[in-house]
Amino acid sequence: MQRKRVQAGSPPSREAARPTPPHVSVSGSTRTVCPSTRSRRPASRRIILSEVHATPDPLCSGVGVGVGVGVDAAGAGVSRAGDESVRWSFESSPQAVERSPRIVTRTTSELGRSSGWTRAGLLRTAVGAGAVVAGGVTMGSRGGGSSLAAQQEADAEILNFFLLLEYVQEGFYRETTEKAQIDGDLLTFVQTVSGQESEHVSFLEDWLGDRARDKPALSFADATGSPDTVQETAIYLEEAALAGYIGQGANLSHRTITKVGTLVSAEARQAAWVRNIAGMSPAPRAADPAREADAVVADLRKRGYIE
Amino acid sequence: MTDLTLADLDRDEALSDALAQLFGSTRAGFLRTLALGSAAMLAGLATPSDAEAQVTDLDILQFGLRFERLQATFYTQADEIGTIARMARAKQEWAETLGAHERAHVRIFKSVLGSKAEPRPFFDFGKDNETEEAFTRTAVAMEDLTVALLTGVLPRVKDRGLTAALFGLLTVEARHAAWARDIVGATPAARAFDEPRTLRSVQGAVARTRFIKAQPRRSSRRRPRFTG
Repeated sequence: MQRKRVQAGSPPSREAARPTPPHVSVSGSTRTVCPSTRSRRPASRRIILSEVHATPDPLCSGVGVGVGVGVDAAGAGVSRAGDESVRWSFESSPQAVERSPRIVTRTTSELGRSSGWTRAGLLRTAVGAGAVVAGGVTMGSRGGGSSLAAQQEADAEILNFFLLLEYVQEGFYRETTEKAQIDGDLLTFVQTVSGQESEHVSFLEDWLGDRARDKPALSFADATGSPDTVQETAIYLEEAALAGYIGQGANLSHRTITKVGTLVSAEARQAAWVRNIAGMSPAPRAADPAREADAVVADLRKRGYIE
Repeated sequence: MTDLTLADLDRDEALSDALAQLFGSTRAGFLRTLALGSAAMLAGLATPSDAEAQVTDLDILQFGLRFERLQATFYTQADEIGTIARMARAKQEWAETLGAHERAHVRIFKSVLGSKAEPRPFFDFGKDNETEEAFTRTAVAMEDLTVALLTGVLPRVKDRGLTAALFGLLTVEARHAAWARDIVGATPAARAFDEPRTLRSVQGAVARTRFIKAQPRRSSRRRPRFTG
């Protein structure tokens, strides 16, 4: 029964799974306040990370993380005035939609072709509960049914992706500490978070055991060399990791989700912290976007952090 | 009553600790007192109690709605009675953003639940959103509690679509919590792993705040107990 509700009436077909905006009634007051557009400090201090954000801050649009749920999340940051009458939607910012990484609409076969992270339901969590659960997609395509071994294998694949993200972050903060070009709040942040990333790495390595991936070769070049680049890169890495976690977290087995959930929330805290240091809104959206694993990795490669 | 509320919400006392020193201590002082947490307690969650294992997705959604409504109302009222307007600009932005997000979350839960959504309960925050200090510490405690709730219920959710959605809300609530802690001078991310709490335990904590009332207070138009 609940499952039906979550789908918000969408049949699990590809077309229907597209996050069509809910009807948005615009009447009465038209004052729309978007938290993410309100510069908290002088604009000159703002850092715009064109590649990180699922949707550029100023557009303050949301990205669907689920069908019924995610669509409504587009109401992110609606003002009090907007409560009754106005909110922006996907339609209001087509550019944002186009740019928005999402995990919503691809079919399994498409994923098989395009993704290195090929667990069947891996990237289609948000297609709708019914599609994933009723279709038995989560485990099914592996042919392993829901056996413990198949589940662990699937978990391992996802956790190896997470481990890569943690390796990159840990390496970045370590190199930043070594170069010692920062001070003040930013230094406090880096010192605190550095230790946390190491704990995350340890947890994932322990969980994975023999299956743990190799450490990637990392290269941050100038990113660790000045307060500005450290700040910018830290925000980029934190947001990229978060989007990756959100995209894959729901595909983990229940047993593993428990621990990973508490890691993800810690990552989100780190993201908010460094954004605040940088003068950006720590929480720019009412619901955070998900991102495909291969897109996250491709982006890290493009930036040259990993090979 | 106010103290009881905070103590109830703040299980590990790290927050109370930080707040107690809020106006007299340096930020560095906080950083020293707040130790990094460990993941040791996570081990204990592998086997849920029977009661917890029986928590349904509907239970989670209903309580999610209730809790988001509580928070949304808390911020909305603080706005209406002028508490937020009296704050410094940066803090206003924090309070307004959190309020807007919590109201959006209410809509999310309502739309998911559809006709199953419970009617809106009645809230009474007493003095807890009347002064800036009370508002702030209650907000900090509530945001941390929300993170604990969401991390706690994630492994209980059966529906994967719902799980995916909750991940996207969890990170936002964690951002709120970090922002709130930053505002009061506590370490925004004090631990490598947050501490989850079970649905039942958070329900208990919320009940002890007495913010949710069974009935509205009606001072007039009361029906006589006996008629005829």
